[in-house]
Amino acid sequence: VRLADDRRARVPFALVGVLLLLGSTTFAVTLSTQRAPAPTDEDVQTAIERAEASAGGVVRDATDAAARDAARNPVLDPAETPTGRVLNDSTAFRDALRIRIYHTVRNRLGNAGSRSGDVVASPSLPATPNASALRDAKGRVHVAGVQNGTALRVTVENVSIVARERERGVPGLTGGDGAGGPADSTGRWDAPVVGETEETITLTVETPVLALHERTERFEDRLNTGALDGSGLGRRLTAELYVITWARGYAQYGGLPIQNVLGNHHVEVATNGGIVREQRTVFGRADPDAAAGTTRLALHAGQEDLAVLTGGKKIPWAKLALKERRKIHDGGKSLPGYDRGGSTPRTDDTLTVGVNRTADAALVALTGDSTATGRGTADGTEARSLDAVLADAYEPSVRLVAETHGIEDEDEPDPDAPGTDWELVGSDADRHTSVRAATRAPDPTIPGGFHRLDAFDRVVVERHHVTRRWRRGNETRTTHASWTDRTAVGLALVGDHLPRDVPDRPVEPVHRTGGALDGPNLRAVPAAARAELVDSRGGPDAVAERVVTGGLDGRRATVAGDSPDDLGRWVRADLVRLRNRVANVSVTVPRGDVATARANPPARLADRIRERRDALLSVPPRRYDGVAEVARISARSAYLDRVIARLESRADRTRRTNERVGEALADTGAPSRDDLGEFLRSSRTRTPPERRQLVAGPGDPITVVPDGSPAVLTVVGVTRDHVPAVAPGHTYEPMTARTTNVFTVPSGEIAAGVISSVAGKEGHVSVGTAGKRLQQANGTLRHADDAELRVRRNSLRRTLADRVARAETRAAEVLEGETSLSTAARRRAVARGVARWNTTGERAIALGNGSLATAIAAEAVAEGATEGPDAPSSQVVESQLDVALSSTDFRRRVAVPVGDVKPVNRLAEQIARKLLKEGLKRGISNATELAKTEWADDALGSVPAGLPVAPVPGYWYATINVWDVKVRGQYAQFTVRARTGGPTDPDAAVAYSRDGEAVRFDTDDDGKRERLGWNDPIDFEQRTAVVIAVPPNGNGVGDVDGDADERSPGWPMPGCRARNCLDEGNASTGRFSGAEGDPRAIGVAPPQQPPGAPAIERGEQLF
Amino acid sequence: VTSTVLDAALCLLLVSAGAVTLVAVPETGPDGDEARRSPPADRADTLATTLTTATASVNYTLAPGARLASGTPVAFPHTEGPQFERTSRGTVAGLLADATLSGVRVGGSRLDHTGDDFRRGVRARTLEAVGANAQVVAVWRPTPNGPIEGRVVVGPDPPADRSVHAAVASVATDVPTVRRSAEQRVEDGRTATRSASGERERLARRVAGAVVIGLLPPAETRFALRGDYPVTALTRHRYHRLASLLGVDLRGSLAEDPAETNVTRATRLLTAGLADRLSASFHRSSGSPETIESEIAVGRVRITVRTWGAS
Repeated sequence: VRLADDRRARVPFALVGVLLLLGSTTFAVTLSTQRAPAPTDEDVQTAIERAEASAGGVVRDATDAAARDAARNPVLDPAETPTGRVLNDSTAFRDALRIRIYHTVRNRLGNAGSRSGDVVASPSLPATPNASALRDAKGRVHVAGVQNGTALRVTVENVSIVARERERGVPGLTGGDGAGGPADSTGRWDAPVVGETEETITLTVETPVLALHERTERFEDRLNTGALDGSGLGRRLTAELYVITWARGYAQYGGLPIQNVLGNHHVEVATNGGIVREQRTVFGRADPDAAAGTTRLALHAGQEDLAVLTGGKKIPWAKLALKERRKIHDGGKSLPGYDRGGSTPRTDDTLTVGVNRTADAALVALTGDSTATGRGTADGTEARSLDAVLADAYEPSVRLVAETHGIEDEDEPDPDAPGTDWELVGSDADRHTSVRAATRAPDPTIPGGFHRLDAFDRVVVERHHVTRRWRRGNETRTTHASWTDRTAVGLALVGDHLPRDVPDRPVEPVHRTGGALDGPNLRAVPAAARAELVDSRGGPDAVAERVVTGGLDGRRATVAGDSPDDLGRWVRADLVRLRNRVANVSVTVPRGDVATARANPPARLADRIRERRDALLSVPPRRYDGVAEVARISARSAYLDRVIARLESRADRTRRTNERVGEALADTGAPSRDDLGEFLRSSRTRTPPERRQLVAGPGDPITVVPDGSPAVLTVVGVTRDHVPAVAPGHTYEPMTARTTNVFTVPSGEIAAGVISSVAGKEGHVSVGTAGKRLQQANGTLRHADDAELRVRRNSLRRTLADRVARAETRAAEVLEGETSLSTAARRRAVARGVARWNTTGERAIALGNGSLATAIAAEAVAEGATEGPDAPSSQVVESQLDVALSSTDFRRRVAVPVGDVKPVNRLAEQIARKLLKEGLKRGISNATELAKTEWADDALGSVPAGLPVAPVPGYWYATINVWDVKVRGQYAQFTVRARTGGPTDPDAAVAYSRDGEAVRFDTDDDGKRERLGWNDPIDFEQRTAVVIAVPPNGNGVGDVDGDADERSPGWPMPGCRARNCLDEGNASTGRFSGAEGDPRAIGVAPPQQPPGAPAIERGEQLF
Repeated sequence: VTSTVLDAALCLLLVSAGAVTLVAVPETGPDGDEARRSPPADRADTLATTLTTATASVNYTLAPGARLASGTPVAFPHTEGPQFERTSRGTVAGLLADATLSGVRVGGSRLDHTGDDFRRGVRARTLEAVGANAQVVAVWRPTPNGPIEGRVVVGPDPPADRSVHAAVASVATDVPTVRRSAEQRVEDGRTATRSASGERERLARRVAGAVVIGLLPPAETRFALRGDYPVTALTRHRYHRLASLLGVDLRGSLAEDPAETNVTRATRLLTAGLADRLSASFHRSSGSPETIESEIAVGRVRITVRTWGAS
């Protein structure tokens, strides 16, 4: 069948099939061509989202890297360049960090492109070819510390993300080293842009860079915090210096041969110890090298002390402290050799000051040996001798008192003229008085304190007559008139038994025998008083009459009663008991107050006696047991008055002495007394041992380790051997110190100006001190014979023997006056007392400290001085001897010329040093051991030092001294590391470093680094003062090596001695370089600038 | 009848052809495999993004670096202690890049073991991030076929019978890039007469400088050498180790005493030594200097993520 033959006009199926085929083909072609080239919105969006996400990752890693760089080269001080000016002065570090973050992010964004389908999205930030672009860039980045600064919330604003259609065949993301630019990896710049957006990325990056910066700043702040300003190095330094000074000062006082109580090497140890503790406080842990180095430094300081002692060679301890630093990694404990021994007093421990000798002096003055008092009448006109006091007690004052009562009182009759015209020309009055005993009479009022001894009642009758004469013309006439007045008179004879200074109590018995001592009391007094006041005036009638007629003599009179024979003895013995109680009255004053010349113990003693006066008087509670007891209490009262008066005069002198100490301090430029007190208080303020570890939010602590270079700041210069940053051939001074001892021997004029002299005589030393020297010389001679010393020693011994002989003579005189011992017995007592000591030196010492008087008194008692009716008590004998041998006059007489002592001193010291050196060779290794050896004890003496606080010779209660300490330091490099980071970083840590270098950074991608600014080295300065007070006697306390004003080699400026002594471009921009530092801030002379060499600031020459 | 049958048969044939055309079009289109992504491929990309965005923290110790150190005069008195403990935080990709660099091999020998524990930690973190059925390979290969290579592999190799999808991310490192500035390019253009071998030498020197600075950044090693043990010892060990692997003598420029250490000189010596090795490898390669340069990737680490379907 052919198709053409078909006449039914049928459309073949095949034709329909062809049409269908054509249609599907067309559709298929349309379908396939539509898909491929046109990117969908979905792709653009996906690509941009991915780019955004990976840009976030880039920001994170770049921030971490930038933070490491910023920490390694922190900008503290923006440069005066267009680039530097982009940084804000106050936030230079953060600003530099922001710029670094911007640049690192920008450089790394090249890898952050991502694609989806044919769309490549690439994030980017604009370049910063100039300062204004840099400023914009800085504005795009914000940083804030979160989680205690251990993390950084960083915001990068307006990261532009551009999506482009990718050309076919471009390798895309798998390209070569494309970190350099976005073009390499994310498509061609000329490709059509299909999407564009700007994103702000904010995320938190865990990098402790801000915490490191902030803590390091705090560390530097605390190093510069003065002792009075708060918690910080100043306070630690002061506390540490107090420990050292008091330990060494008391050791010196205790006889250890210490020449330099507080020197720069101690300041060095204390400062470094304080810095180590500050590091622990601020960073949570200390530089291990610093801790170990400080320990070694302390050890070497101890050895140094010993070396000075022996005249040996000083050890260059900087080398020892800094060398081998890498080998020791244990933490330094407290400083060995400077631990406070258990027995060393602290500043708030008290010094006990008693009335002591004042009690004797007052007693001797009271009991009337005028030759023994010798100190004038400090107690003024009130002073009565004991005899007067006793007599007063037995001499009550008596007087008459009267009371009258008119019984009859007639008026005088009016003139009665005989008649008119009579003129009264005159009148004569006449009175006739008669007195009768009366039964009733008014009782006179008895004045307070008096009581009635006798009474008389009388009626006085007065008959008055008046005769008047009248006249009239030549005629005269007389008239008479009379009247009578009758008055009852009560008369009383009253007496007052109690002296004024005795508390009011009844006395019983009083007018009869009995009571204490069973004496007559005032038995005879009423009679005597009557005889005196009544009988001698005509008897009661006459007196009564006188009362009425207005002529009563009501004045007091005294009548002497008979005192018992042994009253004086009894009262004296009682006074001796009281003296013992008074002598033991003491007050405690903090040693620190004494040391700062702000204490006045005598004034407080006087107050104490006043407070306890009643108790000391021992007044019987209800009544006096007879007049003898009144006399006894009266004597006690008089004694206490004298003690108080003497104490007040001591207090007055102490006050003046304290003021003069203040003036002396002002003269030497040391801090004032009040400032010393403040420093002292700050030394007691404990700095809490806080350790602040860095904690990242709720997570683990971040270990932060400080690392100073040099680890230990020495007061001697260091070289490249110790601090690698120091350029070859240069010296770097990490620390400079100046320690001034205010009261030293060479500056003895100060002491002389403040007090007379302990010996009481210019150019003389006290006999006790001289005795000590003699002993030391003897000890030295026992171990080493030296001809010259022997000669000098003999001369001193002769002088002292003479002084002891004078004391013997004086003691014999006292015994003669006080006791009834025979001449032979007196001589024996004195000789035996002196013989208790074997050598002249010991005797002189005994004379100096008063034990000689005690011994002689004891021997005198043994000889029978206290036996017999009139014999004094042993206490009296002792007091008399003591007062006599310690009176100012006598002390002057036995003082020893300084010329006798000094050569002995000098020679003994030389020989002792020689001996010590040998001892050291024998293996004695430390000072404590040294002190234990007998020859050191014998042989070594030290020169007296310090300021004896002795307002009156003989009342020396403390020796004080003051050290004025100034210290400055600077680290060549100070690095703080937080142990976070990958092992590709050689430190595997974020290292924040301060070294004074310039910070440079390529901000405009031109291959050259622009200067951003500088980081400042860590530096500090401190000033403080230490005071010490030791008990009297001994050698006092102070530096006796003759170097009162000790300055470290580099003083006053630490750091480079020459300009730029640090290599690698360290320009050292610390405050101590150039004109920045204000040396007057701590009161030192400005540094010597080499003339004609203007300080090159900030290392400009480097660029 | 015959014609009708033929007609119908022809019609059916044509209709079938049309249907086949419609069905076949999408499958044979260009970029078909990418245009219609399968789920596993999506996963590889997602994981790559995760690596560059997710953060992780690794606690590790530097102790293996001290314990396994040998072959250099550096002494390690202690090989354990808190001073070895470290923490590192960052994106997983960043940690991987660090791990890759820390495990760098020179001529097939590991430079040092300081990063051993770190790499263990990073592998663990990465595995946590990507999960099963995935492999992450991070590679730092500054020059093609060169002596220096760092590589960290996390996860098992993909099974041979499974279809594998891959995504690539690259992470910038602290190693400076070797990019010629525009001026240099211009200058190079002017001195076109320079021989190809001289060009290779210069390229080798540039790459060597970047690599040495990347492995031992002088600014930071100077710090570390003045720091405390163990970082000082580890850094010195790294110097000596690199020197011995490159056949360089560092005596006189690196001593125990930091004062006698000259980092700049040590860097110069190491650069020279590495440059020799690199230029030798460049000479062996057949490519032109330009080709070689295009394949140099000093400043970044390539991270490849492979994923496959679950079995």
